[in-house]
Amino acid sequence: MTGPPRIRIDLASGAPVVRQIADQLRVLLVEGALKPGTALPSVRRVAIDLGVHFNTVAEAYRQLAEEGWLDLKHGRAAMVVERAMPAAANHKVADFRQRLRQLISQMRAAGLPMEKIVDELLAQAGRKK
Amino acid sequence: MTNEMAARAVVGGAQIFAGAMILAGAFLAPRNKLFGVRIPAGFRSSAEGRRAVAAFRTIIAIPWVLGLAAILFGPSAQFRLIIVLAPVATVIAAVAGYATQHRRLKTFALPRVQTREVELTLEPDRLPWFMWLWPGPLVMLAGAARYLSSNWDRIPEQFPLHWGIDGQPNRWGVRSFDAVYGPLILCTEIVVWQLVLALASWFGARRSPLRRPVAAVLIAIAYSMACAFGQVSLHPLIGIPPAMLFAPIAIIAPAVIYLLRKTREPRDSPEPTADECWKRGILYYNRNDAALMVETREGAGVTINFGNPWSWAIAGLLAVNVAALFLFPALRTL
Repeated sequence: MTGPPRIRIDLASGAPVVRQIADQLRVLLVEGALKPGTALPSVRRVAIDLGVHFNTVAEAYRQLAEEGWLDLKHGRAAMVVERAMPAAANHKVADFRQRLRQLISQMRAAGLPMEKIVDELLAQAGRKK
Repeated sequence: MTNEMAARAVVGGAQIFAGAMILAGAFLAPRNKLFGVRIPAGFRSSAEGRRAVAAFRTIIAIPWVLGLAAILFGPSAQFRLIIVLAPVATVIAAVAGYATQHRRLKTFALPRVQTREVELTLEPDRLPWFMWLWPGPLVMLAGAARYLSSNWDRIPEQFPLHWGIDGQPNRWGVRSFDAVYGPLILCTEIVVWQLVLALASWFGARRSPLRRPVAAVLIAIAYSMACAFGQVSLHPLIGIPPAMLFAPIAIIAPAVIYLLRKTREPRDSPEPTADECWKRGILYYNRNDAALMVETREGAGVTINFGNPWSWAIAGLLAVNVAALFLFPALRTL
């Protein structure tokens, strides 16, 4: 990745903006683009640049803090913290499997062949190694 | 040249300048906008685009030319009325023409930009160097006040406070606290307001290439105002060379040119302001946008997001400036 990491929201997507921000930040955190010890831009700055309400960004930061990704302290920038990977609970795995099946179905319905989907999944898995 | 001829020439020149600036407004806007509407590339040179600009010009040209003729050749007895009506009629025509074309062009508007992107830069949001020049105007005003105070006895009992368009004094003040210091106090309030606007335009606006030149213009205005009011205040004591009257303009001009050049530069992403939040394409009101200042859709610069609670603080400061005119009776003559 070149330059600072970016997040993009799409108002036409139907997904709530809070979820879009949280999801994209989570991707950056999981992929290591935002490393432990990194300070995130302030809620005010991100909200102004995205043209959304302060509370929307604050809520996304709060969600990530609850998941253990961020440390939020009043009067200080949100910090990325070292997060121990929890053992995946059975119901989480089942939920993930269900969502993956739905996603694959959507992609196939959109015309993507199964081989291409497998390639994409392998490419994503390769990025994590 | 008689005083009346000189006055007609000055006001006529101002009418020509004001009309030319209004006509040029459509070309000072970013290339992807016309009358506050986001347009596709090439729309300006299309038949519809040319028709909209021509209709706007025609609406303005009528009061502009008639006003100019009245200023230059109208009856002397009605001259005072004419110099008020001519620019007012031109401005009313401009606002009406703008609103009409804004409504018409909406049918050609590009779909609303639905994606917004932000760089998670960890660089601190530092003020540009020229913002640290902010104490300058206040120092200039304090210096003028200090000079007046130490030379109080030399100030004439009566001195000019206002000059007519023929350059002759037409209102006078007496040596009193409000007449001597009033202009400096009023200017201090205006300068503080400009500095607050400059800070708001930096910290309350999106990180765009326009942020820097807008702040530069606001700082330049503060210097320009301090220069102009300082001259007025010191006039009873020291003769101001006529050339110095152009100093305030000389201070602002480079910053405005910088802003205009930046405005016309093509940019990647437009500001994420929703069309429905623009009232008549001019006023922006969006309670869900954290920005206090947003880029204008027409012309160069920024405007206030009236949906942001802090916009009331800025409006309140402006109200204080207006109230000062009533606190210092001598200022009403300015």
